[in-house]
Amino acid sequence: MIKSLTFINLPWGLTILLSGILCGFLFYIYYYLHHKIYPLKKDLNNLERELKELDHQAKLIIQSDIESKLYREAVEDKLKKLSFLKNFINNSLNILDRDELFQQISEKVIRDMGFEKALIVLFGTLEEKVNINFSKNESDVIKHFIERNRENLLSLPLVSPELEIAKELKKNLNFEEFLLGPIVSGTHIYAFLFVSKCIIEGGMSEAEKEVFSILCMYLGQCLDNIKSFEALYQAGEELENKIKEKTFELTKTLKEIEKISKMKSDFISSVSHELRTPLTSIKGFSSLLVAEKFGKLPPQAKERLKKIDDNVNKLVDMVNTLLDISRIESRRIEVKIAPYDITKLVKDTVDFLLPQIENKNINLTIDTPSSLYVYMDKNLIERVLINLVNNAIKFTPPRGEITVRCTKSNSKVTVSVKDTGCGIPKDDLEKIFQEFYRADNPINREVRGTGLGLSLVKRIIELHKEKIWVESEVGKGTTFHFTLTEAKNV
Amino acid sequence: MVKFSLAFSDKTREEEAIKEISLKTKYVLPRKIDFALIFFTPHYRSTLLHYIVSITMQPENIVQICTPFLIYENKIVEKGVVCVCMELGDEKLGVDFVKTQQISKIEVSLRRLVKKLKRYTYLFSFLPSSIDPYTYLHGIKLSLGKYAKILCGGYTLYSESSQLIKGEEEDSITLIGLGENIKVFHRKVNGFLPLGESFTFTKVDEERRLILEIDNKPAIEIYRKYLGDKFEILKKNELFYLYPLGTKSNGNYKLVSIKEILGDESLFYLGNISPGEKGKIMVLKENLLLENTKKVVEEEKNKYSPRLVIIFDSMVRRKILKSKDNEEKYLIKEILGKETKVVGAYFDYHIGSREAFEELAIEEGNMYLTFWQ
Repeated sequence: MIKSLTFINLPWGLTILLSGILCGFLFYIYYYLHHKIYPLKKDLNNLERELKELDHQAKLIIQSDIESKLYREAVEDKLKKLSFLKNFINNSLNILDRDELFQQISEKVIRDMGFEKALIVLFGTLEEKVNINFSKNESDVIKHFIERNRENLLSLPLVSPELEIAKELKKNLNFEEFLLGPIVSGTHIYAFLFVSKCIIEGGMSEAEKEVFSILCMYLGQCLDNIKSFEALYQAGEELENKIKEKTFELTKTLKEIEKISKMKSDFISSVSHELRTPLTSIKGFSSLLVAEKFGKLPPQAKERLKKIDDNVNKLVDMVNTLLDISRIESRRIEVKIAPYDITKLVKDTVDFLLPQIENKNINLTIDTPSSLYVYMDKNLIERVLINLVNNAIKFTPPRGEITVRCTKSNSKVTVSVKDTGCGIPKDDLEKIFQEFYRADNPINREVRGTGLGLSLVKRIIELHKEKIWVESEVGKGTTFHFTLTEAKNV
Repeated sequence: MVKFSLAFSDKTREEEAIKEISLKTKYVLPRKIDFALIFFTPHYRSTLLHYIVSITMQPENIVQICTPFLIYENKIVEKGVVCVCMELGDEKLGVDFVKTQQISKIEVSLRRLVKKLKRYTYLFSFLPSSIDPYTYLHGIKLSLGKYAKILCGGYTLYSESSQLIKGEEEDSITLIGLGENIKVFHRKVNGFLPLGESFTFTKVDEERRLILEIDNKPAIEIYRKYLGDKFEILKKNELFYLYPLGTKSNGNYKLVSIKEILGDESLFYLGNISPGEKGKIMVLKENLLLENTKKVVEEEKNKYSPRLVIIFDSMVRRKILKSKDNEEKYLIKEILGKETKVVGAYFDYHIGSREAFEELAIEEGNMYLTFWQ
């Protein structure tokens, strides 16, 4: 440099000075560059590193984002499928017909499952039960496949494209994604369900296979239910038919019984009628003979005639009672229900029977209010009372007790006739209201009766739409109760 | 002042659905209906709906759009019909339909419509799948300029936006122009966040809409880089809509959606890119999205007190957001309150701008909220 400055003819001193300044300048530049640019370069490197780090962070964010999105999608898809299954089960739970069940497999159901096409083919006959969007050619290929692989399919719970057996089907149908599953009812395969053309973004996954398997199982379960229902229905039908048959037989028997009963009533009625006319005549003449209206009779003849007269009286009673029963049965009796004082009727009846009571030295108690009006047919209830009190007298031993009581409870009046007789055995209690039934006891064996009195009593009470019942204990006595309805505001 | 009515029905039969809507509408607008905008799901027959609406409600103009889902108040409906009816009073609103075969005349139609309105404040347009959105965008730019106040909703897969022209169902572009006194403002919401280092679109075939190279490497490499071993899942399941690319313009990112990967590993896209533009990979963050939506709706509510909000939503957003989408609609209605009616439809893509004085672009993955004062 000094040489070059010398070359342009500068004085030496100036040359040395200029050279010094130049060196100083160069040193300054070097110093500046070293201390100012270097940190900037360093900053730039740091920035680049940070950018790389940020870029790395961006990669991590994007990768975790797609992972979480795919996971969320899978969860949402599963929830959607669960909801689909729930809805399908809800809609088909009560279906009890096979065709109706298969009708539930609609296009919407198949789409909700994630497919576009569906086919249900019966295993035995290969009859198509459902065909959604499959062409004739496609369904023929599927049926042909089932036909050819019957044996192999028996052991497979699900046929999917990746199985060896499905390769032929995949090739012939040209479908990438499909599922074939058996619908098993009981222990047999009833039908096959085939779905294809997955419409789910990302294709068919395990979730679709699971839902498909559940659907096949559920359809099988439904078929089992239908089968059980049909068996139950058939059993019910058979039972109903048997009941119908039995009812018919019973109705027929009942009609016959009613016919026989009517014939019996008619027979009794006509016989009683026919008997009463000659009996009236016999009764008239026997009474006149006993009263010696035709002249004095020898004592022996009078005694026998008296017996005839007594028996004629009994016969007349019996005929009258039979006629009454017959009238009630055939509803030919006229019932005149009106308010009447039951206490008065009780007293009158007891007065009427007082000679017999006194004869047997029976202690009689009448426990009634001063007056108590009830709705009744006075003549018929009088016959009830006579019958019951008469029975009580008959079965009460001398010096026994008879109580006639009237009690009121709500709107009902209960009339009770209680005696201290021999009582009725428990087994006979139900039968004593039957016609001609006579309980087996010493008194009955001794005292003759018709066995019609209580039957008549029961029918009269039932005519009043009231109740009659008996309480008895052997050796202690019997109480007959019957109810009547109180007549208020009389 | 424009009077609005909004009515919805989910009855299965067209007659019953329109009868219900008609009764509700007549209660609010008993005198006259100038314009009926109907969004309906594919469960209903377009021609029958049109016929019944014209008989029962007798509006001057009917525009009906079939949408895969519709928005009614605070919910997203899978099956139903919703009808926005307007009584315009002294205000002006023009409707025009351009048959898809006559796309070359779109500039003429747009100019004619604007001329008819004298001064327009806003244009809406609905495009069927048979229309190429780029041709249409070009037409708009030629006739109205690149900052035109227009919002279009279009379909790529869903060809159901046909209209009835002179009684015949036609595949057509629908144009609705609003006169100067009808005040409508729009806002765009997406919620996509740019991530990672920016890259350069080094080779783009704009005509064929292909990104051939990014940073001088095959375009597909950008996804391989960020997704690592998850890339194959993304490719197999065609999930590129989850991560669109973004190009920066005026400080904001415009979405470029990847529709398909071609055999040569180039990317078929929907959006607007020029070679040399910088870009980033975008991720939709749901929390950010909901915050954004909340902020936008609150701002507009306070500024304009809108009476009606028509939402132009995106099918891609719905696919990504799933149940969060329902949450978002619920949030919008909650902020707007009872007095503001909310209705909307879903589209495959939109043509619009983020706001005024921003160049129009084709995008998918955004939601546009139009606020009607």
